[in-house]
Amino acid sequence: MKRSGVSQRMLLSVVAGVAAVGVGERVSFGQEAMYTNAATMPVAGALMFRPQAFVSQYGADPDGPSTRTTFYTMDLGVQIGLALAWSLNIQAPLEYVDTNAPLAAGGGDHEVAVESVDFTFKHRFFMENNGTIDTMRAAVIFGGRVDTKDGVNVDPHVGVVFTKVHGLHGVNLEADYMMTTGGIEDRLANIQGGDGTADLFRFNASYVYRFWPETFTSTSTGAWYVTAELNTLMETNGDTELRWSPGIMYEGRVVSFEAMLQLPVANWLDQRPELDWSVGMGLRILF
Amino acid sequence: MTTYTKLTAAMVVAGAMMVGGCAGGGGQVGRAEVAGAGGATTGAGAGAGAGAGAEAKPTEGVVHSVSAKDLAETHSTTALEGDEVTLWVNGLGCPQCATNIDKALENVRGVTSVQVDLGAGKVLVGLGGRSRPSPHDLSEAVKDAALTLVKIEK
Repeated sequence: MKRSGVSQRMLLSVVAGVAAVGVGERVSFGQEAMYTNAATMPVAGALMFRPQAFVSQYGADPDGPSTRTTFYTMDLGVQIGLALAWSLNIQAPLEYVDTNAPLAAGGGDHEVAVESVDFTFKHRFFMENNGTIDTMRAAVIFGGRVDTKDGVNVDPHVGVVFTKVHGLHGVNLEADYMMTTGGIEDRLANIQGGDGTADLFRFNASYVYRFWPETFTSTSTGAWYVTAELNTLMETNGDTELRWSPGIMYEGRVVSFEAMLQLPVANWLDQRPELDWSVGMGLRILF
Repeated sequence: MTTYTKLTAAMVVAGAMMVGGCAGGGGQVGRAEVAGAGGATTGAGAGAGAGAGAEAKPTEGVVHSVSAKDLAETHSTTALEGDEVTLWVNGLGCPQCATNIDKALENVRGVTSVQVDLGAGKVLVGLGGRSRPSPHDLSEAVKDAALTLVKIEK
């Protein structure tokens, strides 16, 4: 297992990414962008089903023959309101991974797997509703990822989330640390941030702007938002990524829709391929 | 190391939006106001510059201006009378928040219907049956939905 201390460039990235967010466990509810948590949750007894589909293309393996790796991911998530200010999110990504490599090097490969199931509890410990629309909330998130990529390991994670909504504007900030207890060897083509043996720190920030309706009325039942996220992935092996994720979202009373593009801003990667691009679409259905 | 200069610029723009986003707000005000004890309750259209007054049309960004007496009444344990009450609620920021309060109030005994007005930050609650809820019961349900009840209009 390879581990290293926090490098200077990682610290610089923290400073640079002050407004950033990450590819966290996507525990979501109202007025929340696709990759960043918010301190919101369904009421006790309610359940939200959130299927999401992603296609993510990565570049060449830094240490191997592959020239391109594409992940097709169907992420099945359920969030359950447990009690006052508590919720539980369960998430299981189903992945199809397609790796391209020259024939001379053995050609490409592909695999299908449900390689992890994540359980995340969220507890809102602060709430201040200071206007009909306006609110500030903070929550702690903690749980574990049951990782079956190489044996069965439980990777605990803990973090905090802050949400502020003011009129048409919303901001979410999330910081989360996951301690990897297993993981597959680094320097493979088919791993993403957090899949290897290093611990993972995620820092995510999202800005959500409601562009329709400009003003809610007594008959309003839905709203359209544009979103912009900064997603930071920092691993203790030194690998660091900063991504930008613009998107659009419709939020209804029961059914919501979201679509986002994710692009790299800066990469410092030695152990895994660099992200070229990623697109994601999802639904949220509240029962 | 690969650095994407153009996207970094875009990131800076997005960051600036984040910093500036909440500060702008189109003049909307986000603060509950409590008038002096015994003061008249008013609906102040803060964002649109509407004057304070009982007849003021609610607009988004409204601050429910209520008296200390109004706030105290939301904790009363005396059963409500009548067929409906209007709840003045803070924090109704999104459509799913409306669904949350729907579900929370519908679980309260004596509540027969719930109608959420996102624009005004108000919830019309129908009451019926032998066992009527108290303001405290409704306040707790609103709290369960992560919202804040500031006044019950009977």
